[in-house]
Amino acid sequence: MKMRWMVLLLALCALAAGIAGCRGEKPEEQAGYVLYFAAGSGENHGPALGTEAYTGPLSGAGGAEPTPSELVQALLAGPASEDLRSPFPKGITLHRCEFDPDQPGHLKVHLSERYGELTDISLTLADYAIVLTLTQLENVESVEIISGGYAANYRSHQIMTAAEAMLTDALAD
Amino acid sequence: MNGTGEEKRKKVPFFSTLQMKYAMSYLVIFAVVLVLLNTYPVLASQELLFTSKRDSLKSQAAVMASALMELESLSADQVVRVMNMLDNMGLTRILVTDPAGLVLYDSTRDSGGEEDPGGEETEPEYRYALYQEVVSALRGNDVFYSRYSDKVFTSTAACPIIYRGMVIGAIYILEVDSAQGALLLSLQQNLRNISLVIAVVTLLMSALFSKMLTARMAALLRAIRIVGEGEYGHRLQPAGRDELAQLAEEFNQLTDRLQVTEEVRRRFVSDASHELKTPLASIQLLSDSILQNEQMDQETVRDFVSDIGEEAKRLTRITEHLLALTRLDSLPAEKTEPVDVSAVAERAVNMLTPVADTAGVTIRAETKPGCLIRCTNDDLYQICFNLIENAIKYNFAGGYVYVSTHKDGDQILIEVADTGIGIPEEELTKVFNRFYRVDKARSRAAGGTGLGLSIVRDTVRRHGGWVTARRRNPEGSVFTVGFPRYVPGPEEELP
Repeated sequence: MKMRWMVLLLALCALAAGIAGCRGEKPEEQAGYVLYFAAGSGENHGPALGTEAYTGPLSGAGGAEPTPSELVQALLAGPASEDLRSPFPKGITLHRCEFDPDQPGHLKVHLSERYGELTDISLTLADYAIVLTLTQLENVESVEIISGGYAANYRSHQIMTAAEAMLTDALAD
Repeated sequence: MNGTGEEKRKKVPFFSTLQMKYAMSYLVIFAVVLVLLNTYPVLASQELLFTSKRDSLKSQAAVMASALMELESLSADQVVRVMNMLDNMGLTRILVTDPAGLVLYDSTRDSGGEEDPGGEETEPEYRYALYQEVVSALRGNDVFYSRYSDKVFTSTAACPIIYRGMVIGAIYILEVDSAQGALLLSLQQNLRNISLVIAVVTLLMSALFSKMLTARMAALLRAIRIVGEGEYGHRLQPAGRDELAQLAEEFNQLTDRLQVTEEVRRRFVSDASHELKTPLASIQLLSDSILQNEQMDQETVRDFVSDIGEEAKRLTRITEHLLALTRLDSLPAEKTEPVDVSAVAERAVNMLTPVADTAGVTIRAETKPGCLIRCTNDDLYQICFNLIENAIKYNFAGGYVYVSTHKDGDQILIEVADTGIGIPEEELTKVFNRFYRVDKARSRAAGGTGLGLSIVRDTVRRHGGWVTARRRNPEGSVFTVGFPRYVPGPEEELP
């Protein structure tokens, strides 16, 4: 009789542990703004950019959102998660972020010269990590990145939008 | 109340029954087999399909990459032209990107150039394939990924387009294969159906086999209970030639022995009661006669009282003999030692010579030296005493008792022969039975209890020996006792 109670108790414990485990594995909901970083190199399927919740200050419009500079600074600081890695070379600094008065919603991000060391797919990943992060802000529709005062002429185009980045293949996922 | 309690105690709970345990064992074994049947082939097929798809997609991507690397540098127009010439080989999607991941060709969108039907140049569309596969391929790696879910195989492959050691772009291909998925699903369903049939058959068979196996055990258990209740005549019908059949045969043999033992016990109790009743009845009769006959003369009274004393002595002898037999039955053998048989036999002869003289019987002893056995002095003396005393009791006046000890190979023999009344041939085997007497009247007259030879037999057997009785020619009988000869060690001290 005691044995049966023990078995029942163990089964309940296992069930409770299972439920707790399931709850533990559930990713935290990323309410608010997220930062885009390069996904870990261990995977060979899925988006090449992953996200992490932005936890920095909110000094933007009405204190409800961060400023573009705060988001870029958070990006340059690198990810907290070990599953993500920074797409930016070390030593890059933000000079300033400014909106183009002629084009509403167009943000220019001025970075240090080291950003110009990036080419090809590494540049694309870094560019769209910034673009996808900044276009979450209500007043940002497109982003232009300038390093050391110049736009990289080997880019296909300079004014980038979030819609240009295909993170997942809808036919495959 | 007790009966119900006993029934409840004997009732085995259903889940503790042997049948249930056997059935569960079969079911567990088959469950493991079924799980393996439902997982291993599916996983193996899945792995086989993954391997086949990897090889196929990689080779397709390599073919396309080799066609594109002829272009030296990739532009959307050139790529579209080359790709239009290639067969899409049933692929769901083909993407070609430049080194930055910019999509130059997408089979799901591009069918020709970028010009619209109006002839005006449209705004160039920039789309970057930021997939892990593409990023990895642009870094020079061949990539393959495949998964099976929702009845569909989804496989992707990507490889770099290399021109003179430089990565000038990447090919990404996607295949969504529902036909192979359906095949695998059908295999899974077939295995599930087969498993279901096997599970049902196993359930029935395990119930049947466990019932068959435990039915015989239940019969054995029932038989043990019946015999336990005292019905020693109950027997099992052994079926088959397995261990259970052997168990049934062993049970039957055990019950046979139990029945014989019980029979002997009953007879012994009956005989003992009878033997004790006879002197008690005599005592009662004699005492009643004395009490009822007031004019009885003193001499007759003395005779009667003397008879009562004799009967009381007989009762004492019977009870002493019974106690001796009980001790032989129940107590463990005492510590034995090397005993000289001749010395013990001579001691018994010396002790009984006055009795023999009174009966007019002559004892002639012929003992050999060095007749050693392992026994206790008291037990060997009791054996010799009983045999010689019997030979005197059942002898005629002027008769002889011959006592001899000698070696015979690795045995020591004690022979006690007499010229007495003898034992009929057909009763020779019975003389060692308890309370058996050849001549009851003579035995009682001689003060016999009918237990002397039983004590001899039991004592001899207790020390690993044997005893036989046979007729002596021309008259009387011979009792022979044999013991294993004891050979002392070189430095052992002899008695």
